[in-house]
Amino acid sequence: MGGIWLAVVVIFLYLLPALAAFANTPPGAEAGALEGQLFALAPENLTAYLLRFLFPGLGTAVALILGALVAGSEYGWGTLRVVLSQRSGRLGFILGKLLALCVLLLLFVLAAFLVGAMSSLAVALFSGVSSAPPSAVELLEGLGVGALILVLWASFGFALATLSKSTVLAVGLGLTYAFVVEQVLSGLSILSESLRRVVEFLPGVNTSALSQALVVSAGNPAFEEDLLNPARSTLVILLYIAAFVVITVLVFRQRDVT
Amino acid sequence: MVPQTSRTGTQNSGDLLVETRGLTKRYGSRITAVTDLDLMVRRGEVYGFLGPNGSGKTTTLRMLLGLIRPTSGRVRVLGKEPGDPAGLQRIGALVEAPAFYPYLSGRDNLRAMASYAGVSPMRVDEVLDTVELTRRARDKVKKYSLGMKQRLGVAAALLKDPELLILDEPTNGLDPQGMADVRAVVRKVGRGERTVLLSSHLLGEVEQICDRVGIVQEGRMLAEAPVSELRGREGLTVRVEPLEEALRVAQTLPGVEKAWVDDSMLRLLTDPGRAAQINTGLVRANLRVSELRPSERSLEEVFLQLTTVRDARTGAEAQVDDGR
Repeated sequence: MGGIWLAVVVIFLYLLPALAAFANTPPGAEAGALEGQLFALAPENLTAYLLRFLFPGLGTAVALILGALVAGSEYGWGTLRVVLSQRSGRLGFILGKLLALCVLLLLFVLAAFLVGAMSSLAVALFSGVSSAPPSAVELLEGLGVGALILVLWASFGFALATLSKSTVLAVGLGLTYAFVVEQVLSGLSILSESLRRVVEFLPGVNTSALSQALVVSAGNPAFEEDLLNPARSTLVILLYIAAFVVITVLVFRQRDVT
Repeated sequence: MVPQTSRTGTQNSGDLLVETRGLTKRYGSRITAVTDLDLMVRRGEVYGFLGPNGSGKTTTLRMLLGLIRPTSGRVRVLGKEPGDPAGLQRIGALVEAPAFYPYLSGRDNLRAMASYAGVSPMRVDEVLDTVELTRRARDKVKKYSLGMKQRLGVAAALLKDPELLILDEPTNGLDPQGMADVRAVVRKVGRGERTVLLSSHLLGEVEQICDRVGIVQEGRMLAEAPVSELRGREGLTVRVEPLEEALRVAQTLPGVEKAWVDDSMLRLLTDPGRAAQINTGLVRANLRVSELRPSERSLEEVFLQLTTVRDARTGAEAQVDDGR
């Protein structure tokens, strides 16, 4: 899955758009035409560009699937009863898995930024786009927001797999919620003020809002100004993560292993 | 007759590695897997937990390991609550079908389990040698046969060099050679002070390797005693005609404690050394004796005689006769 993740970053976020820009710029085009098309891919826009497409976006699906796999595979293989009849207690086991999942997700975020940085530098070298580096503060904020968003969706997938004892069901339910249910509710919220207030507290809405807030603050004018407060979005996301972890631990500790 | 449970008297609690009192497990209001089960496993013995499929053996073993919470009753395993890490450290278990990470080799699976158990990785090679899987240890588990997976499961159970080894139907699904191999491993590891709790529905297997047996059906313990005690005392089996007359005459012969008819044969509870006198007594009564031999009941006969059959349609309950 790591390979797919990095391949998506390189191929779909950088290589294909760059090739398309080159193809759309005839030899006699005015100066700056190519650079204008590739401005978003420049190194200084790394954070905003990755947040736009990966966090959430593809990152939602990857994190959700990873979380479901880490939790659900033990049920599918039947190895849970073997592991729990060794020395480790249930709480230590499940927290250890969650911690390992968080470390893995952090590596995914770091790898995406690293590969993205190398790809954007390559684009800059070949196209003449500015190769000025991104702001260090922006980078750190982007890494933090990216990791937070992935941890949220991974913990959601982890909780679903623990509750359902099934990887497939967890992935199906999780992706349906993230990409369909929330979109429908968000769309319907324009019809009802009370529904709009509920939608403002949904996890997907808050991850999108937090990501967009960072993109806007990075100077990217492509998004609306009507955003949720980023501090509040961060708090909502942290609360959801805590809730998913607590539910997972409570269910896992109490349940019979059959 | 009411089913009888053999009691062996009170035991020093230090000798008991497993003790349950009134152990019960219900799922909802309709399914009771285990009912009021009293089980005692002593240090150093190979204990056979015997019963048909669905009798509650696996559920009981899972409760001993803390994988399932009892509905009621008391359980102590190595003096601890089930699932206590300090207790689990001294227990090795293979419950139901062996389960491993299919993408890892046999050796790497054991290394992962050793890591969970806090055991030195050096134990991995030792247990692989014990179950004779060293040559195939580098192959991925998904390529293993069922017998190899069973042996790897036993190896995983031995990693902690446990005081108590719990094996749930370890020969399930194996061919006769595979069964013989696993039984040989169980006998090997059951020597000395190690205690083995072995569940099975194969009576012959339990009879071969176990010291004491607990017979369970529909979640209830029917009898718990040494194999020799369950099989009963020795006696004589006589093929004689006419059978009813022979039964009457045999009951009057000196040295015959009990006589009964079973499957068209006359069964006598007596010292087999009295065979000649008993033969003389029957012949003098003008009875035709065509066969006379010493006999001992098999565990299968004991099991069949102990169990009851509940007719779900009539709600009737068959009588139980223990034949003694």
